[in-house]
Amino acid sequence: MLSRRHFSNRGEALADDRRTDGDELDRRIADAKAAQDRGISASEARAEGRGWAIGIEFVGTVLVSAFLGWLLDGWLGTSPWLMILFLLLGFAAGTRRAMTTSKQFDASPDNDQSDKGA
Amino acid sequence: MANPMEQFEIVRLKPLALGAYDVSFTNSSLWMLIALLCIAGFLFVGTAKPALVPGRWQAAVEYVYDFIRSMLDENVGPEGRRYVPLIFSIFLFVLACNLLGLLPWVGAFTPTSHIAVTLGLAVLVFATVCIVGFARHGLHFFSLFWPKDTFFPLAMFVAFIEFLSFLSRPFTLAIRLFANMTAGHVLLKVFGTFVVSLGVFGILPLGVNVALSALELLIAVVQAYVFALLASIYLNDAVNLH
Repeated sequence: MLSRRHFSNRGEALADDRRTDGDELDRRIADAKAAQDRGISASEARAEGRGWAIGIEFVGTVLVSAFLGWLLDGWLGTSPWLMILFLLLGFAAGTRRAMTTSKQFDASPDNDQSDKGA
Repeated sequence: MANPMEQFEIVRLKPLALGAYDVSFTNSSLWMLIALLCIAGFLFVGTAKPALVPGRWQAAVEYVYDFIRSMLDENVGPEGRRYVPLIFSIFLFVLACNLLGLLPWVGAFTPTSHIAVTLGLAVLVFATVCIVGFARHGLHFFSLFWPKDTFFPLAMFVAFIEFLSFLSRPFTLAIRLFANMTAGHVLLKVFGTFVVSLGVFGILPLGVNVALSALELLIAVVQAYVFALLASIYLNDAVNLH
């Protein structure tokens, strides 16, 4: 008697499981999504990459300009004036580069605006 | 304490000379070759049995290809399709080199932590941009530097600044990748030596290294993406002269 009731209970539980299968799947999908959101999302990683890219753009342009000035100084024997001039021009060029690059990144549809609210 | 820069040392595995040039087969060449074999294997397996409903490998290959194609579509436009093979190759090569360099083996080597390699790739992109620019627009390509509707002496000045920033493109492209890879590997190595020298308390730097490895994995992928993205943005300048 006891075992029979137990059995029928299990049967009910099974039927119950089957009924809520859809809800269960929804819950698991939501859980998995939440777990994924806890880490760094792909778009956040890309955004970070782009941020660093702009920084190096600026520094690199200044360094390359100064180096060009230094090279010209060596050829023309005007040390250190051309290096100083090119260093200053490099600052201008670097600022411009950083501006245009960030503008280009913004214009790229790859830029996930949807993620900003999250 | 082990030297953290030791891991970047070039070792000649098979010394070769071509005239006066040293063209030895080095550990850097070996790992670039391994990277190429991995890429080739990935692509061959993925495209061996093409099906309408892709299997796992085919889906992976299609996803990467589609990623690059849509990047060029969005940044260059319909003309960008022509440059998909170039950007796709560069992206996969940089990605494979970055990821293989993270393998914790003795003798594992990251070719992209050497500026000779990254500058080579960047100059390839730069040369392509120049050739495409001059082929499509002729001498009109120089108008890339010329600001519109600007007072003439000021325009000369701005054009010079633009020229400087144009020249620095291959260098910034190369330095970014090289600096990211080198810095990451040095950090891993420094914390690795702490693990050994601190004894029981080495568990702390070990934890840091685990976290750093995850970060390095992210950086390896993101840097390959940034390299490809900037290459396609530079190509856009040459293809669609504003």
